[in-house]
Amino acid sequence: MTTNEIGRRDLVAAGAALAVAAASSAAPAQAQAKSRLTTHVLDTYNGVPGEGVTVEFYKRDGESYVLQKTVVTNHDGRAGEPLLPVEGPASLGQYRLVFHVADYFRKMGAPLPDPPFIDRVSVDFAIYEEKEHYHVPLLSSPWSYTTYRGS
Amino acid sequence: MNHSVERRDLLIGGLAVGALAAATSPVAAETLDPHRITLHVLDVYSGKPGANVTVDLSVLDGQTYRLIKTVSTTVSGRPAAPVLSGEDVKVGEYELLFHVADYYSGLGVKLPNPPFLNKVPVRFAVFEPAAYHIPLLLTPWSYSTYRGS
Repeated sequence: MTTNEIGRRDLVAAGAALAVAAASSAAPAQAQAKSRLTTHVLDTYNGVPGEGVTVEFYKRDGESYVLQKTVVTNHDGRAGEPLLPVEGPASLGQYRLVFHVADYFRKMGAPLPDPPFIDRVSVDFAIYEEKEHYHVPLLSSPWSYTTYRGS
Repeated sequence: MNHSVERRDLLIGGLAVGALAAATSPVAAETLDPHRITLHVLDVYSGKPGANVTVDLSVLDGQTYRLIKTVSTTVSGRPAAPVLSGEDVKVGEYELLFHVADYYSGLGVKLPNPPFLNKVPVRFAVFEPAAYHIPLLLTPWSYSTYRGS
Protein backbone atom coordinates (compact mmCIF):
# COMPACT_ATOMS: atom_id res chain seq x y z
CA MET A 1 0.00 0.00 0.00
CA THR A 2 2.66 2.43 1.06
CA THR A 3 4.84 1.45 -1.85
CA ASN A 4 2.01 2.02 -4.30
CA GLU A 5 1.25 5.39 -2.82
CA ILE A 6 4.86 6.44 -3.07
CA GLY A 7 4.98 5.14 -6.63
CA ARG A 8 1.96 7.18 -7.60
CA ARG A 9 3.34 10.24 -5.94
CA ASP A 10 6.63 9.89 -7.78
CA LEU A 11 4.78 9.57 -11.06
CA VAL A 12 2.73 12.63 -10.32
CA ALA A 13 5.89 14.52 -9.38
CA ALA A 14 7.60 13.35 -12.55
CA GLY A 15 4.61 14.53 -14.56
CA ALA A 16 4.71 17.90 -12.88
CA ALA A 17 8.44 18.20 -13.56
CA LEU A 18 7.86 17.42 -17.23
CA ALA A 19 5.08 19.96 -17.40
CA VAL A 20 7.41 22.59 -15.94
CA ALA A 21 10.09 21.68 -18.47
CA ALA A 22 7.54 21.93 -21.29
CA ALA A 23 6.27 25.28 -20.08
CA SER A 24 9.75 26.81 -20.10
CA SER A 25 10.94 25.26 -23.35
CA ALA A 26 11.15 27.32 -26.51
CA ALA A 27 8.68 25.04 -28.29
CA PRO A 28 5.60 24.46 -26.14
CA ALA A 29 3.88 21.11 -26.61
CA GLN A 30 0.63 22.78 -27.52
CA ALA A 31 -0.14 25.58 -29.92
CA GLN A 32 -1.65 27.64 -27.14
CA ALA A 33 1.08 29.18 -25.00
CA LYS A 34 1.23 27.97 -21.45
CA SER A 35 1.57 30.62 -18.82
CA ARG A 36 2.15 29.76 -15.23
CA LEU A 37 3.99 30.61 -12.09
CA THR A 38 6.08 28.11 -10.17
CA THR A 39 8.19 28.31 -7.06
CA HIS A 40 10.87 26.18 -5.41
CA VAL A 41 12.22 26.34 -1.88
CA LEU A 42 15.83 25.30 -1.35
CA ASP A 43 16.94 24.94 2.26
CA THR A 44 20.57 26.04 2.00
CA TYR A 45 21.01 25.64 5.77
CA ASN A 46 20.50 21.86 5.63
CA GLY A 47 21.31 21.34 1.96
CA VAL A 48 17.93 19.84 1.08
CA PRO A 49 14.78 20.94 -0.72
CA GLY A 50 12.45 22.79 1.63
CA GLU A 51 9.63 20.30 2.19
CA GLY A 52 6.45 21.28 3.99
CA VAL A 53 6.94 25.04 3.64
CA THR A 54 3.67 26.96 3.67
CA VAL A 55 3.55 29.50 0.83
CA GLU A 56 0.84 32.11 0.46
CA PHE A 57 0.16 33.55 -2.98
CA TYR A 58 -1.34 37.03 -3.30
CA LYS A 59 -2.34 39.34 -6.11
CA ARG A 60 -2.24 43.08 -5.67
CA ASP A 61 -5.53 44.92 -5.92
CA GLY A 62 -5.14 48.66 -5.49
CA GLU A 63 -3.19 49.23 -2.30
CA SER A 64 -3.70 45.77 -0.81
CA TYR A 65 -2.73 42.22 -1.63
CA VAL A 66 -5.54 39.65 -1.90
CA LEU A 67 -4.83 36.01 -0.99
CA GLN A 68 -5.29 33.75 -4.01
CA LYS A 69 -4.25 30.43 -2.52
CA THR A 70 -2.07 28.79 0.09
CA VAL A 71 0.11 25.83 -0.84
CA VAL A 72 2.60 23.59 0.96
CA THR A 73 5.80 22.53 -0.78
CA ASN A 74 6.27 18.84 -1.52
CA HIS A 75 9.30 16.60 -0.90
CA ASP A 76 11.02 18.29 -3.85
CA GLY A 77 10.50 21.77 -2.38
CA ARG A 78 7.96 22.69 -5.04
CA ALA A 79 4.30 23.56 -4.85
CA GLY A 80 2.30 20.48 -5.80
CA GLU A 81 -0.16 22.55 -7.82
CA PRO A 82 0.31 25.46 -10.21
CA LEU A 83 -0.15 28.83 -8.58
CA LEU A 84 -1.63 30.26 -11.76
CA PRO A 85 -3.75 28.37 -14.33
CA VAL A 86 -1.61 26.26 -16.67
CA GLU A 87 -3.66 27.16 -19.75
CA GLY A 88 -4.30 30.59 -21.14
CA PRO A 89 -2.57 33.90 -20.63
CA ALA A 90 -1.30 34.91 -17.21
CA SER A 91 -3.06 37.77 -15.56
CA LEU A 92 -0.63 40.70 -15.63
CA GLY A 93 -0.07 42.53 -12.41
CA GLN A 94 1.80 42.58 -9.16
CA TYR A 95 2.04 39.47 -7.04
CA ARG A 96 3.44 38.41 -3.70
CA LEU A 97 4.68 35.08 -2.39
CA VAL A 98 4.96 34.77 1.39
CA PHE A 99 7.15 31.90 2.57
CA HIS A 100 6.69 30.70 6.16
CA VAL A 101 10.38 30.27 6.76
CA ALA A 102 10.62 30.32 10.57
CA ASP A 103 7.86 27.71 10.95
CA TYR A 104 9.83 25.49 8.61
CA PHE A 105 13.22 25.85 10.31
CA ARG A 106 11.66 25.44 13.74
CA LYS A 107 10.18 22.16 12.53
CA MET A 108 13.63 21.16 11.25
CA GLY A 109 15.08 21.75 14.71
CA ALA A 110 17.21 24.77 13.78
CA PRO A 111 17.92 27.03 16.77
CA LEU A 112 16.10 30.33 16.22
CA PRO A 113 15.97 33.47 18.33
CA ASP A 114 12.63 34.71 19.62
CA PRO A 115 11.31 36.44 17.60
CA PRO A 116 13.13 34.76 14.70
CA PHE A 117 15.38 37.02 12.61
CA ILE A 118 13.45 35.97 9.52
CA ASP A 119 9.87 34.86 10.05
CA ARG A 120 7.91 35.14 6.82
CA VAL A 121 9.70 36.16 3.63
CA SER A 122 7.67 38.36 1.33
CA VAL A 123 8.77 38.31 -2.32
CA ASP A 124 6.97 40.99 -4.36
CA PHE A 125 7.24 40.79 -8.14
CA ALA A 126 5.35 41.60 -11.32
CA ILE A 127 4.10 39.42 -14.12
CA TYR A 128 4.55 41.71 -17.10
CA GLU A 129 4.27 39.35 -20.07
CA GLU A 130 1.27 37.04 -20.29
CA LYS A 131 2.88 34.40 -22.51
CA GLU A 132 5.98 33.82 -20.38
CA HIS A 133 6.70 31.35 -17.63
CA TYR A 134 7.63 32.73 -14.23
CA HIS A 135 9.70 30.69 -11.82
CA VAL A 136 10.43 32.34 -8.48
CA PRO A 137 12.72 30.23 -6.27
CA LEU A 138 13.73 30.96 -2.70
CA LEU A 139 17.15 29.93 -1.39
CA SER A 140 16.66 30.12 2.33
CA SER A 141 18.44 29.83 5.67
CA PRO A 142 17.41 31.20 9.09
CA TRP A 143 19.69 34.22 8.46
CA SER A 144 19.54 34.85 4.75
CA TYR A 145 17.67 34.35 1.55
CA THR A 146 18.04 34.79 -2.18
CA THR A 147 15.41 35.00 -4.87
CA TYR A 148 15.51 35.58 -8.60
CA ARG A 149 13.60 35.12 -11.81
CA GLY A 150 14.40 31.51 -12.62
CA SER A 151 13.39 29.23 -15.47
CA MET B 1 37.94 73.10 -13.31
CA ASN B 2 40.86 70.88 -12.47
CA HIS B 3 40.71 71.96 -8.91
CA SER B 4 37.01 71.26 -8.58
CA VAL B 5 37.45 67.79 -10.09
CA GLU B 6 40.26 67.07 -7.68
CA ARG B 7 38.21 68.25 -4.76
CA ARG B 8 35.36 66.03 -5.85
CA ASP B 9 37.69 63.06 -6.19
CA LEU B 10 39.09 63.71 -2.77
CA LEU B 11 35.63 63.98 -1.35
CA ILE B 12 34.59 60.68 -2.92
CA GLY B 13 37.82 59.08 -1.78
CA GLY B 14 37.21 60.39 1.70
CA LEU B 15 33.69 58.99 1.71
CA ALA B 16 34.95 55.59 0.59
CA VAL B 17 37.62 55.55 3.26
CA GLY B 18 35.07 56.71 5.78
CA ALA B 19 32.68 53.93 4.84
CA LEU B 20 35.44 51.35 5.04
CA ALA B 21 36.54 52.61 8.42
CA ALA B 22 33.01 52.69 9.77
CA ALA B 23 32.37 49.14 8.65
CA THR B 24 35.57 47.44 9.59
CA SER B 25 37.73 49.46 11.93
CA PRO B 26 37.28 48.87 15.67
CA VAL B 27 38.41 52.45 16.29
CA ALA B 28 35.65 53.88 14.15
CA ALA B 29 33.22 51.33 15.55
CA GLU B 30 33.60 52.95 18.96
CA THR B 31 31.91 56.01 17.57
CA LEU B 32 28.96 53.89 16.45
CA ASP B 33 26.39 52.82 18.97
CA PRO B 34 26.60 49.03 19.50
CA HIS B 35 22.83 48.92 19.06
CA ARG B 36 22.04 49.87 15.50
CA ILE B 37 20.38 48.98 12.23
CA THR B 38 22.52 49.60 9.17
CA LEU B 39 22.17 48.63 5.53
CA HIS B 40 24.24 48.41 2.39
CA VAL B 41 23.09 48.15 -1.23
CA LEU B 42 25.44 46.37 -3.61
CA ASP B 43 24.44 46.62 -7.25
CA VAL B 44 25.94 43.38 -8.57
CA TYR B 45 24.38 44.11 -11.96
CA SER B 46 26.55 47.20 -12.39
CA GLY B 47 29.40 46.02 -10.18
CA LYS B 48 29.31 49.00 -7.82
CA PRO B 49 27.61 50.22 -4.65
CA GLY B 50 23.98 51.19 -5.10
CA ALA B 51 23.99 54.97 -4.63
CA ASN B 52 20.92 57.14 -4.14
CA VAL B 53 18.66 54.19 -3.38
CA THR B 54 15.59 55.22 -1.41
CA VAL B 55 14.84 52.92 1.53
CA ASP B 56 11.81 53.08 3.83
CA LEU B 57 12.12 51.73 7.36
CA SER B 58 8.88 50.59 8.98
CA VAL B 59 8.02 48.73 12.17
CA LEU B 60 5.24 46.20 12.60
CA ASP B 61 2.54 47.86 14.69
CA GLY B 62 -0.28 45.38 15.22
CA GLN B 63 -1.08 44.03 11.77
CA THR B 64 0.43 46.83 9.70
CA TYR B 65 3.87 48.26 9.07
CA ARG B 66 4.19 51.85 10.25
CA LEU B 67 6.73 54.06 8.46
CA ILE B 68 9.47 55.32 10.77
CA LYS B 69 11.70 57.09 8.29
CA THR B 70 12.93 57.21 4.71
CA VAL B 71 16.66 57.27 4.00
CA SER B 72 18.84 57.33 0.92
CA THR B 73 22.15 55.60 0.26
CA THR B 74 25.30 57.58 -0.45
CA VAL B 75 27.94 56.86 -3.08
CA SER B 76 29.18 54.03 -0.83
CA GLY B 77 25.79 52.26 -1.02
CA ARG B 78 25.15 53.03 2.65
CA PRO B 79 23.12 55.77 4.27
CA ALA B 80 25.29 58.46 5.87
CA ALA B 81 24.26 57.31 9.36
CA PRO B 82 22.74 54.16 10.90
CA VAL B 83 19.07 53.86 10.04
CA LEU B 84 18.34 53.39 13.73
CA SER B 85 20.68 53.72 16.65
CA GLY B 86 20.83 53.38 20.42
CA GLU B 87 17.59 53.25 22.35
CA ASP B 88 15.58 53.41 19.13
CA VAL B 89 16.67 49.84 18.33
CA LYS B 90 13.81 48.13 20.09
CA VAL B 91 12.86 44.47 19.93
CA GLY B 92 10.26 44.11 17.21
CA GLU B 93 9.62 43.31 13.61
CA TYR B 94 10.90 45.70 10.98
CA GLU B 95 10.72 46.16 7.25
CA LEU B 96 13.26 47.80 4.95
CA LEU B 97 11.65 48.64 1.62
CA PHE B 98 14.24 49.22 -1.12
CA HIS B 99 13.07 51.25 -4.13
CA VAL B 100 14.79 49.07 -6.68
CA ALA B 101 13.01 49.95 -9.94
CA ASP B 102 13.43 53.68 -9.33
CA TYR B 103 17.14 53.07 -8.82
CA TYR B 104 17.66 51.11 -12.03
CA SER B 105 15.46 53.46 -14.04
CA GLY B 106 17.66 56.29 -12.80
CA LEU B 107 20.71 54.43 -14.11
CA GLY B 108 19.07 54.08 -17.50
CA VAL B 109 18.56 50.32 -17.25
CA LYS B 110 15.70 49.19 -19.48
CA LEU B 111 13.05 47.48 -17.34
CA PRO B 112 9.79 45.79 -18.30
CA ASN B 113 6.54 47.52 -17.48
CA PRO B 114 5.66 46.85 -14.76
CA PRO B 115 9.21 46.03 -13.60
CA PHE B 116 9.78 42.48 -12.32
CA LEU B 117 11.10 43.90 -9.05
CA ASN B 118 9.77 47.28 -7.99
CA LYS B 119 10.10 47.79 -4.25
CA VAL B 120 11.87 44.96 -2.41
CA PRO B 121 10.71 44.37 1.16
CA VAL B 122 13.14 42.80 3.62
CA ARG B 123 11.40 41.88 6.84
CA PHE B 124 13.44 40.94 9.88
CA ALA B 125 13.24 40.95 13.64
CA VAL B 126 15.35 42.74 16.19
CA PHE B 127 15.31 39.97 18.79
CA GLU B 128 17.74 41.60 21.22
CA PRO B 129 19.54 44.94 21.33
CA ALA B 130 22.53 44.49 19.02
CA ALA B 131 23.97 45.56 15.67
CA TYR B 132 21.86 44.46 12.72
CA HIS B 133 23.48 44.95 9.34
CA ILE B 134 21.20 44.22 6.38
CA PRO B 135 22.93 44.12 3.00
CA LEU B 136 21.04 43.80 -0.25
CA LEU B 137 22.87 42.28 -3.22
CA LEU B 138 20.81 43.38 -6.13
CA THR B 139 20.07 43.10 -9.84
CA PRO B 140 16.85 44.00 -11.70
CA TRP B 141 16.00 40.26 -11.60
CA SER B 142 17.24 39.01 -8.25
CA TYR B 143 18.39 39.84 -4.78
CA SER B 144 20.05 38.36 -1.73
CA THR B 145 19.95 39.50 1.84
CA TYR B 146 21.38 38.23 5.10
CA ARG B 147 22.36 39.24 8.58
CA GLY B 148 25.73 40.83 7.95
CA SER B 149 28.26 42.44 10.25
